[in-house]
Amino acid sequence: MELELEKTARGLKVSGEMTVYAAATLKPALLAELIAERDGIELDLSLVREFDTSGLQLLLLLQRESRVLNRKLQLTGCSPAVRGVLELCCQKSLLEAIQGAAS
Amino acid sequence: MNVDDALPTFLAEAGELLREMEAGLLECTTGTPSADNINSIFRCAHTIKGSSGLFGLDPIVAFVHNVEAILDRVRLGQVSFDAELINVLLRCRDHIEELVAAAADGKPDDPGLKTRGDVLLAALGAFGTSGAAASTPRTEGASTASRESAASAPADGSWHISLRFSSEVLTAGMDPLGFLRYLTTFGTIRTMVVLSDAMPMADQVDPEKCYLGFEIAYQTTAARERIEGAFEFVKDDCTLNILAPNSPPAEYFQVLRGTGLKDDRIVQILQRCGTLSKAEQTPPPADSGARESAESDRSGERGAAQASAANRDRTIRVDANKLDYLITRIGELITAAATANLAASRSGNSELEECMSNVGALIEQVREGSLQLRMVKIGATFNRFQRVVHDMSRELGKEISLIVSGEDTELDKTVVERITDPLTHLVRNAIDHGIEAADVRLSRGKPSAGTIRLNAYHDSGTIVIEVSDDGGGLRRDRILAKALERGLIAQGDTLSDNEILNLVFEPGFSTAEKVTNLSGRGVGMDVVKRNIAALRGDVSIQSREGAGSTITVRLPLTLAIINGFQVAVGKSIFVLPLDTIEECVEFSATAGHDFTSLRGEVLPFVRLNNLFSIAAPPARRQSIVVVRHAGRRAGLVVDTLLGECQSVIKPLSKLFGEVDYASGSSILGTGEVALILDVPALIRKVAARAAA
Repeated sequence: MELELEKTARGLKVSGEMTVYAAATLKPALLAELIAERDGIELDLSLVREFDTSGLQLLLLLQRESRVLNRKLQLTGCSPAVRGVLELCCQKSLLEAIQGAAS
Repeated sequence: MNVDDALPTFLAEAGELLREMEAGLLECTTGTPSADNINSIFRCAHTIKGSSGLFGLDPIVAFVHNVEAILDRVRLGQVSFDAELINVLLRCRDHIEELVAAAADGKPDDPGLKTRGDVLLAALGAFGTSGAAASTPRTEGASTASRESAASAPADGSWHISLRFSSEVLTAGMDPLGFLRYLTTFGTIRTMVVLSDAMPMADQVDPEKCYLGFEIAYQTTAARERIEGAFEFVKDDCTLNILAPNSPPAEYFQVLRGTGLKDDRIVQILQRCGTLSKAEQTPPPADSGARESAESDRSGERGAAQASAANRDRTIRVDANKLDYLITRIGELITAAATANLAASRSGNSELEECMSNVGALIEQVREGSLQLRMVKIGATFNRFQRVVHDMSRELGKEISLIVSGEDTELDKTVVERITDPLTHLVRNAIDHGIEAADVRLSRGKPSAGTIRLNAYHDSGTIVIEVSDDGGGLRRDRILAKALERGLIAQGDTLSDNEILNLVFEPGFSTAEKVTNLSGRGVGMDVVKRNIAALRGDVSIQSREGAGSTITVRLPLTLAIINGFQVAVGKSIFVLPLDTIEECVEFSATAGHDFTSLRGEVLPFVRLNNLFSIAAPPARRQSIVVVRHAGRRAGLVVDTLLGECQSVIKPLSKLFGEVDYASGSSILGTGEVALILDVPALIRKVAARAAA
């Protein structure tokens, strides 16, 4: 259930809960990573089991900030939970940020 | 406020929610579960989870979370809500109750509980996974389709839902996405624009607050109420605007301007929603009329929200002990007032007497009002039996439905609490031994499913509770045989049908071994009778062989204070409950007879001076007080009628245990003690004499 963060080559791998319970930990971690990765950030969300509004909100924040910094945001993995939310909310650009997405 | 101080409130609330949840689940077993019903079950679980979280009761949160998850999927139509699942959910509900109880005892981490919880979760999991595999592709398909259709969507045909959540919605334990997902169960989200316009600078974003807004183009055949209903749980935490398909463009602008958006952004959003075609993209002037109507709409909603909040505030929880204290004090006040009254009339000061009579009237109203405080509807108690019936009939493989009526009948809280056990006994008896097995029922020409009815109503100062079944009834021959064997009656005794049936309430009639060969009735019935008698009530049974039995319990409405009527015999004063009195007539009877004619009907009576061995010579003009109980009448011959009074009932001490026909005592204004007459017992005596 717990949130787990793992540093990858160019970003972070998030596992477990991307929910409001984890949001306080997740936000600074994600933003720090975005600032650290000058060539764009890669997020692996393939092991995110739960994804709620706060998770979506953090992704949107990250997307906004990445545009401000002109850095690319890529989702190298996307669990069904995350994909379901993105589809439900018609988040076209985030869905396109999934690596290997047919675009 | 210290969180721990609020714990009792949490416990009480959790209890209520759990009862509601149980009732909801049981209702689902009787018919096709309605969306409302599932929503209400979901809401119960959700609220329990939310408030447990506040108290840091993690074991409860963790467990309820899983229950909630499965309920959410039921709501979304991903898991079918069948009898098996309901059964597991009922057991989960019980487990939550145990968890809450453990939390109340301050040991929420009991390992035994945890193990039991895990077993239940495993059972729940079985429903979850099978449903998930089947349903996930379907949902995805639907949303893919929705996006495709959005691309080519014409400008008409969709509702527009504009949704803003309060920033605290996430910490309140709600997930806005859940509500959006729920929308997909009865319609299609054609497209959605998630607005993060309200999100502040990155360093100022509090990730636990919700900044998102949602603009949704939604296609459904459902009515506006249904859409509104989807946001029912969150209505205090969101601003919801729903625009019907093909509303005039000006209205969209009004609504979105109301959320603080600029016109060019509104155009952008509405275009992305497919709501506005390019031709309509010029914002209309801020038409004052339209704005007004939108404003008034919103204020209407606010008004409704306030009204519902006000409704909630209209009830308060009060510690039952405080109420008991109040009632005791009022009892003493009544006694003191009676003394004051007496002193006033002795003083001959008419002004004082008038004041006292005003005070007396007010005291009576206060008494009425405070007794009302303790009156509760019996419905909650009745509904508890739905579960008993559900569980036991499953266990015994019988199909039984429980029909409840008269749920709104009110009675004293203490009576309700103490009647639950005897009633449970009676209901269990009816299920176990009353209702026959399905094949037996069919062979007797009855529907295979048995019916148990619980009914309650008020009758002359008492509440009547009936437990009836349409089962096999009692077999008189067997009761007689058993009573003979037990030595309760002698060979050759002639007993009325009624007397035979009521033998089952005799102590010593029933022991475990007899349960089976007497079709079981009479199991611990003497205990039931004793418990009810302790409440100054009585119990009787009617039964027709092959057609079923009805057990009738009569109880006084309250245990504390009654409206009494004082009568005197010689120098002794007696109190009769006013509700039992029909009328008072002048005494007239042929000497030596113990009955008289009341408007042509025979009225048997008892002389209180004989009954209580009062030696004083009878007064010159005696009266008869006609009392009524359980449909029977009798007369009581007294010397003097003293009139109405409020009487605080004091129990008789054990010393007076031998005194029949008195149910309690009351202290009079003079400080003297009056016996409160046990009218049911008196009427039984008269009836027994008449039968002999």
